[in-house]
Amino acid sequence: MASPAVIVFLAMFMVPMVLAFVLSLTDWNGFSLRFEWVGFDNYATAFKNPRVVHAATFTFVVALIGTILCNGMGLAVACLISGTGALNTVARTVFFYPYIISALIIGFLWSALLAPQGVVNNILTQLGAPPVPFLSDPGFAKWTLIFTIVWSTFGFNMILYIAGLKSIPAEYYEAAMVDGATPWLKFRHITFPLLAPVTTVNLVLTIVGLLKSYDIVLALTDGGPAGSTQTVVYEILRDSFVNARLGFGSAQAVILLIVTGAIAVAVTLTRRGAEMRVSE
Amino acid sequence: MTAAALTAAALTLTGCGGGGGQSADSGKKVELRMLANISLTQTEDFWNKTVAPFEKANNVDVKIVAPGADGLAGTLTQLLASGDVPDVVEWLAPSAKLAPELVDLSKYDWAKNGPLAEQNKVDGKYYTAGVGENLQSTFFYNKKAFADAGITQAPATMDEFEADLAKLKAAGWVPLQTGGEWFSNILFQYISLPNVLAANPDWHKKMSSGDLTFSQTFAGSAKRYADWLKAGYVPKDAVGVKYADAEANFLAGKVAIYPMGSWFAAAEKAAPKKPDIGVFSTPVEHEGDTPRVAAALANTYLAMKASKHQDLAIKLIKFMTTDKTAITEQLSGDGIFRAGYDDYPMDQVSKDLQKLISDTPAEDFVSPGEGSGDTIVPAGFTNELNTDVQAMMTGKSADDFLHSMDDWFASNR
Repeated sequence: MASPAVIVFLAMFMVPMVLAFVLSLTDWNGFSLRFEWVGFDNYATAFKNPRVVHAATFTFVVALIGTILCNGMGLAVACLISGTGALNTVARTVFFYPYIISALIIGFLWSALLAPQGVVNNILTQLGAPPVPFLSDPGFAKWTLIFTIVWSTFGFNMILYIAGLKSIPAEYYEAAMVDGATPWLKFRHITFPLLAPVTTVNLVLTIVGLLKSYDIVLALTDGGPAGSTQTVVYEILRDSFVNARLGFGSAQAVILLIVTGAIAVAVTLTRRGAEMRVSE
Repeated sequence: MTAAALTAAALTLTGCGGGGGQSADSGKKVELRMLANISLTQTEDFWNKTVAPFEKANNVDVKIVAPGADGLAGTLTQLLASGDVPDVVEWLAPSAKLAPELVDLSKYDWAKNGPLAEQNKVDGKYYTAGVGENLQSTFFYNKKAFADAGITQAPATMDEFEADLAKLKAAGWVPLQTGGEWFSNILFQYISLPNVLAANPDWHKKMSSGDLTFSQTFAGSAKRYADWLKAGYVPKDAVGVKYADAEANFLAGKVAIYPMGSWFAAAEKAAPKKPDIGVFSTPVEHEGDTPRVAAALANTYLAMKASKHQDLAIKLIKFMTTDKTAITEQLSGDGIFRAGYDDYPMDQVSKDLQKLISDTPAEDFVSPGEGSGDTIVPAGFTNELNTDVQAMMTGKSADDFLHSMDDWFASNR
C-alpha cells in the first residue's frame, strides 16, 4: 500500500538530493557533456568565498529576526482578531492577503513605493522632509527587505495561531475568569502554553521558509546595493545558472539543506518539553 | 571524467539529442523556438512581427521564448541542463564554454562577413552572426545644460570632462545620472575601459592569465570615480535609482549627462517630450591619444547543436541577419547601428551615433564588458564590477574597490 508513496518520495525528494550531492563533487557547468570530479573543493571554496559567507550570515539574520517578528506579530494579531465578528473576518482576510500574492509582485510593489524616486520618498520630499534611503543604503536596504518579508509572511503564522486558539477549550478561560485572572495571566498560563504545538510548527515553517528567501530579494533589491542583501539561495541561483557553475551552486545547496535540516530538528527538539506539558 | 556516454544515452531516451537537418516532416508545420531578449523596445510582439515573413515563406512557426528571472544567460543554462534546448538563441555572444553546444557557422559567408565577426570568433570558428553594433562608451548630454554651464563642445580628454562636470555642478545641474540594478557599473566602465584597453591591447588575455591585475590597470579610473562621487557629480541616492527612472530623469531634463549604451537611442526616439540631446564617446586620457569606441555585436544569433531543425534554425539566422527589412526593423527598434545601413528614418541622436560608427576605423573598436570571442575575462566580471561599484557608491574607498576586484580575479581565473 505504501509503495506508491515511497516511489514518489524517492523520485521527488531523495533522487534530487542525491543528484545535488553528486553534482556538488564536480565542476559541471550545467550543460556540458563533460565534467571533472573535484572532490570537496566546491565546499572548501564556499566556506572561503566572502560573497557566500556574507550571504549565509545575512540569510541567518533574516531567518532569525524574521521568525521572531512573524511569530510575534502573527500571535499578537491572532489574539486580537480570533473572534467571530464580521470585522474580525475582514481583518483576517486583509492580514492574510499578502501571503497569497506572488513574492515577485510584492517585491516590485514595495520597490516602486520605496525607491529613491518612489511614492514614499516623493511624498516626503513634497512635505519638505529629507528622502529616506530605503533601498539605496546597504543598512536600510537590509531592514527594508526584512520588513517586506515579514509583512508578506506573518499572515500565514496568524492563521495557524488562530486555528490553535480555536482549539483551546473555553472552559479554561471561564475557570480563570472565576479565579479573577487578568488578560495577561490568561495569555501567559493558558493561551501560550496550549499553543505550544502550533508554535513549534510555526517556528519550523517560518525559519525553513526564510532560509530559502529568494523571490522578494530578486524583485525588491536584486541583492543590492553592493551585494548587501544577497541571500544564500540568490547566490546559489546566480552561481548555478548565470555564472554556469552548477557544481559550486549544488555544493551551496547541499550545505543549505544540511543547515536547514539541523535547525529544524534543533527547534523541534527544543520545543518538545513545551509540547509535552500540553499533552499532560 | 567523461559523462558523454551516459548523458548522450539520457538525451536520446528523452528525445533531446542532437541531429537535425530536417526542415519539415510530412507537411506538419515545424515549430522553431527562439530564446530572445525581451526589452522595453524589443517586445515579444516586436519579435513576432519581425519573424513573420520568415514564417510565411517557410511554413514555420517561430515561437519566441522569453527569458526568466535569471536573465537570458541563466535561462539558457537552465534549458540546456533540462534538455529543453531552444533552436535559436538571440542576444548571447558565443564563448569557449558554450561553443560545444553551438553549430559552427564558419562555412557561411554571411556569418563570416557580418559586423564584428572577427572579434567574436571562438577557437578560430564563427559561431554567431549579428545584426549591428551596440556602442557602449556613449554619453548622452543635455545641450541646454552644456549651454547653461558655458560648455561649447563635448570634452575630448578626461581632464576636460572633469572640468565640464564641475562647471555643470556650478551652474546648478546634476552633472551625471547613474543608478542601481544592473547598470551601476556603466559610468565607471565607460570612463575607464576604452582607455585601459587603449593602453593595454592584450588586457583580457593578461587579466585571465594573471599577468596583469585589476588594480594595476584601473587605479587611476577608480580614484577619479571616487573623486567624482565625493564632489557630488553623481546624486547621493543614485545606487537605488531604477533603470526606467534614470532614463526618465534624463529625458525630463533633470540631469546633464546620461552614460548609457546606444540602445538608449530607441527610447529617446520614442519619447514624446525630450530635451535637445547630443552624444559623445569616452574622451581620451591624454591629448593626442587615439579614442577607442567600445562596441559589442548586437542582436547576435546562435544555432543550437541540439536543435532537431538545424537547417531551419540556420535559415532563420540568415534571414534575421541578412534580410534588409528584418535588419532595419532591428536597427531602428533597439538603437543598434551598422555602417552602411542608414536609409531608415533617424532622428539627430541616431544620426550622431551612426556617424560615430561610420567614422571609427575598425581597429579602434574595443570590446566592452567581459570581452568577446576568444578575448574574454572570466565570466561574471561585469556582475562583480557592478557589485563593487555599488560598494564604492555606498562608501567603500577606491583602494577597497581595487582590492575586491583583484581578489575576485584571483579566485576566478
